[in-house]
Amino acid sequence: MGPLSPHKEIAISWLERAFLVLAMAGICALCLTVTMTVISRAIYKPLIPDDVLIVREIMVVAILFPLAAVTGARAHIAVTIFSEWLGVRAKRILAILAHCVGLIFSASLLFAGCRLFIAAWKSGEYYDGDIYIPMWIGYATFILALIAFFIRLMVMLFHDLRMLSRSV
Amino acid sequence: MEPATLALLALSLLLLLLILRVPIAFALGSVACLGLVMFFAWRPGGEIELARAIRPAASLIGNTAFEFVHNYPLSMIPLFIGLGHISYHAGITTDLYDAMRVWLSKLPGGLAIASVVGCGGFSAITGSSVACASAMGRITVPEMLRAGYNPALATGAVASGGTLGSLIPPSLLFVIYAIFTEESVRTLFLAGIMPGFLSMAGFVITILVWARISPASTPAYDTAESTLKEKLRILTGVWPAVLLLAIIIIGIYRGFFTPTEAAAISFAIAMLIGLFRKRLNRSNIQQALKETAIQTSAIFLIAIGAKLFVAFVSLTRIAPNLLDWLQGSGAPVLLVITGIVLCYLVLGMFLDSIGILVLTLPFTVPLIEGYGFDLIWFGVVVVKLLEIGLITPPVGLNVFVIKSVSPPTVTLETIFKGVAWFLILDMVVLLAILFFPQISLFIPMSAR
Repeated sequence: MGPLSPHKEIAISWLERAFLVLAMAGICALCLTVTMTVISRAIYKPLIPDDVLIVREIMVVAILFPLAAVTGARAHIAVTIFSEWLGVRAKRILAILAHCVGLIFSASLLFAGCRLFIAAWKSGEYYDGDIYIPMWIGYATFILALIAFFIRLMVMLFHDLRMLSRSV
Repeated sequence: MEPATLALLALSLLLLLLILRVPIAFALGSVACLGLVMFFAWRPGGEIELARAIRPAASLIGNTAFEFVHNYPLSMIPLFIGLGHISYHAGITTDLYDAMRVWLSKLPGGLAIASVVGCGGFSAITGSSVACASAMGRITVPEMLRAGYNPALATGAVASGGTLGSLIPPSLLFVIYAIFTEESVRTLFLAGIMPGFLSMAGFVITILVWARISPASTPAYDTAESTLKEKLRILTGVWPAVLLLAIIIIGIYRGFFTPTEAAAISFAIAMLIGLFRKRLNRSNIQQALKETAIQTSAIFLIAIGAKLFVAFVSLTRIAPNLLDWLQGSGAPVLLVITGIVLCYLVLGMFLDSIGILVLTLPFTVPLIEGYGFDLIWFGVVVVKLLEIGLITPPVGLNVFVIKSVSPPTVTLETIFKGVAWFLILDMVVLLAILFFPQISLFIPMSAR
């Protein structure tokens, strides 16, 4: 259980930052799409075709792409009052437990997401509308975000295990 | 295994994981996923067959999570959170406080009143109590302490004022409540207006009474802007906040926009105002967007976990069974409501608002529906209870936020002492909302 090589660590951090930037761009895109639709609807008729479908696709990017960065920053909301009195070592053990529980959740979502993606890819289905958005795009984005989330959880699990073994 | 036994085991495991510092999203999601697999794999009286569970459990987990994120109306959540961050960085919210400070300085406790009214205005833009307490506390607490205000009053006013973010629209808690009860976000936003302003009025009265009883706690305060011309100049700075407030409240009330559209338009306008007034630059826009992305993602992961947990709890039918048991036992309605209120008050002492909301709704909503109560009214009651939870010891989140922005000499005990005064008024408002549902329902009904 050695430490990650520097180039792997850099690659993971770069991927997380790229995903975070994409999510930030996604939030701006959400705002632009909805605002343009409202303004164009008020003036003449909606300018953006399938605006609702486009917003839904962007939502997956805006919501799930920052998950790895949130995890890396240990910014998930937790109840800490009952364990605040514990020592550093005990808190590290609890952090390891949290990563394991997180891995169960992310692996379940990833497995279920892969099944949905494969089904959508095989069927070639698309959403009804003007621009025929294929269904697999949303599922692929969903899986990409979950893969990054899963990798970050694994990296943190190994990091905390290493720190725990050093503190013995 | 009997579904009810499975549900109780899952609930116990969930509580254990939460106590053990596991993030709420991870605990809810993993327990729900494991629970769903066990539900499909272990039929009552039969053997465990994991292979049988994979297809239905994966299908339910995948579709529930994906459909939850792949959702148009919920785009209002990142947009409202973003609006709050952009407004803060653009100085729109602090201008509001500045104007209140200058105009209310002559009143007894004027600075504290300005803080509470400023919090009301801030929350009408940001929709988040903790963000409101953090941003306003940073500005107002040091200023009140410099002016010689009693530290308990100064910190208690902002900690309590910060809670207004949950009731005055747009409120994130109302959006999350709407997701789980399938009620209209617009109606909930409108229902929160009157209780929100009632709470704000209650806080102002508390400050006035405090100033009357102990004038030394609120010494006179002279602002640098003394002439009428200067005061009017400061007042003109509030137009962006008023404009955003009008877009959100009047736009939704009159039906010009859906809440999602109001969120997008106000976000775009706040950004344009910030750029036009040269208060936003590339760096603080990036910062605001980064904070928005991280906060939204963390909240959504909890909501995905909760959505899966609700799906699992619904399959086990534990809530309808509980309702049957309660109705069969002949427990008076008032006792049930009192029990629910006490349960929220106790949970509010230990858990954060979103956690309480997603943990309790699968159980309380079927009960409330079963007894024939209005879910919009109940939403307002629950959010008010969660507001109270933000300032009750030992885990009053707003109190900790105010502590973090106060000088080290101000202890947690001092802040809780100050908050205690405001809690009395909060309880009065809670009772009023409970016994007079018209307070919540009048505006939504008039908008139909």
